[in-house]
Amino acid sequence: MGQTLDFARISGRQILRRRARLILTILGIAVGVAAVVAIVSLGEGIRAHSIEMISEQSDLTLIEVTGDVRDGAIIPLTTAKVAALRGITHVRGTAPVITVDLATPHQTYIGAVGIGWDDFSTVFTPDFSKGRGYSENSDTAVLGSEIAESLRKYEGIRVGDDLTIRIREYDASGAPVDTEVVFPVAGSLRPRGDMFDTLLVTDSTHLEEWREGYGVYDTIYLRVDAPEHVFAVADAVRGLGLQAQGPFEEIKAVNRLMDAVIIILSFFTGISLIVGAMMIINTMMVSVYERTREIGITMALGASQRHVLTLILLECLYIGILGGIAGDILGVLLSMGINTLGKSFIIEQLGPGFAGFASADITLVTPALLAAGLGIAVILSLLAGIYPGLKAARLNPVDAIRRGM
Amino acid sequence: MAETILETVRLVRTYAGGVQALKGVSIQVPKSKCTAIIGKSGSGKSTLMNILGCLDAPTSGEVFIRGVPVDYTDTARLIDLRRNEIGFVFQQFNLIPHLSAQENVEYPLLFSYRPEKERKDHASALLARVGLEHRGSHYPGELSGGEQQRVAIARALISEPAVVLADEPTGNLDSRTSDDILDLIHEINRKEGTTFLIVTHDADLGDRVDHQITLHDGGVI
Repeated sequence: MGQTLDFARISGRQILRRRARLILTILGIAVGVAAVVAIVSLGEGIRAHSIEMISEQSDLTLIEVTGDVRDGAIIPLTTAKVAALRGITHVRGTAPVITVDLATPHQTYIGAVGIGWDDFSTVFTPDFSKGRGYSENSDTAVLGSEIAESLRKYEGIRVGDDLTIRIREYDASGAPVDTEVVFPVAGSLRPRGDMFDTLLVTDSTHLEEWREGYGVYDTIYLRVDAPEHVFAVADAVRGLGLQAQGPFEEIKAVNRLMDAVIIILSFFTGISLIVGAMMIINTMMVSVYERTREIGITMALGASQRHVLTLILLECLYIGILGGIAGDILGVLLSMGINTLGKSFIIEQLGPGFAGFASADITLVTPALLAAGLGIAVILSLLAGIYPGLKAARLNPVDAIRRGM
Repeated sequence: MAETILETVRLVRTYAGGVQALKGVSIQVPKSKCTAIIGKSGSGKSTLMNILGCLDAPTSGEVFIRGVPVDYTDTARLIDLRRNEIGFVFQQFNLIPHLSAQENVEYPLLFSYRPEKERKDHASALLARVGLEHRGSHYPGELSGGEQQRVAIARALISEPAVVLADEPTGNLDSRTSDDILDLIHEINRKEGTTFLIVTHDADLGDRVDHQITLHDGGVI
């Protein structure tokens, strides 16, 4: 450790001998890092805002689980699957659902879903404009806002009334047999902006009588405790051989798009990093040439090739650290510049859907991005130092002392 | 007869192109004595110096340091010998410009993993030994030629080598400073028993050493 510090001190003094050259070399790598930081911060900013917009407009913690087809066999949504889904970490609630299409005697068609009341409450947190919820194992129902309005308008049915449904079945000879079933309307939901606006919701046991596939659910809805756990839960669902869909997939699509955009833009800005690295190679080659005699003397005094290489690489490490820090600072300034000067132009190019960006920063500089900027600068500088370092380490001491400047 | 600390046996060095710089040189350097290799330009003395300093390898022949043959194919061993058994004093001083006098003296110990305190104490003592205890924090550019050469002598002594090889140690100094440097070398040699091998073209210097070897055209006269 002591020796490393001594080497670090000597290398530090060495690079400070040519300060103007050091500053130019640092600037070379810093400009590259700054360009990458600024471009990535813009991409990350757009990504963060897009995700925020999706989060505001969508129910991100809801996962819709359906049966999948594997090797030609349908994997059904059974009670066992419900239990398995309930056991996944971060799943706050499960709502197994059966769906049935119904019609009134006046031919008003109604989509109906059967869900246990507790599950419906946990997963969908219903909010009533009138009345209350239905109870377990009963035939009472609640109506979505739109279907409630239609039934009120066309059939005069309000909360508290009985809704008559005509079920048509067919006997052995193929003749239709109609039965009428009554659903007392217990309440109507406030507008939700989802599928429940147009549905009748009741306890599942009651609906199961009129559908095929008894004991098998059509869909299972999962409520995840937080948006950041949704992807892990979706993966766990897929692990059970089921399909998982939901608004969270939009985030995945945005992430995929932004990853591609950031990679492509970073590639082009990365060219300036290569130029910066070449500047370091050039600087170190000149430095090694100027110090040929000094390197020869150092070897005559007992330094090994490894010692010489270490001294040169430590100089590159300093250049990398200083270049990375300077690049991060420049990158943050560039990113602020994009926010101040380029925001209106970018929002205009993205279209009216992104007008919400106007009130916030369009770039996002994260600690991870700054750490990556510093890391890239250090790694590139060390790589750039290998050739000059090996060149120095392989000098013949006699020639170096004789020929050195 | 004093114990021999450095010995060469029929040393030949032929450069690419066929130029033979050394033609079977056999010499013995006695321990704790001051020996001079005297020769004109092109006599082969620098070549001999480089081989003795483990910086160059002979084409044939053998070198013994403390009676042990030097294996010039063993790079690690050569580095070890340079680090521990050989001290160098150059005509052009060759101090590291961005290190202070004290740090220059410590510099060789850096490569042998010596603790900082030991390095500093030893270097301070040696700077005092060459009369520069008050100049330790000065950089080479702030020192006179004579002072720089004193620092170089202190640096050569820091690893307590078997022999200090001094290549024209007074070649860049005026006559008065040269005398001072030679006096210092003699004093260290007499008081501490350090073996010096001085390479010079100055035949007069031969009078001030214990033992002299004359080289001419790659051979010992």
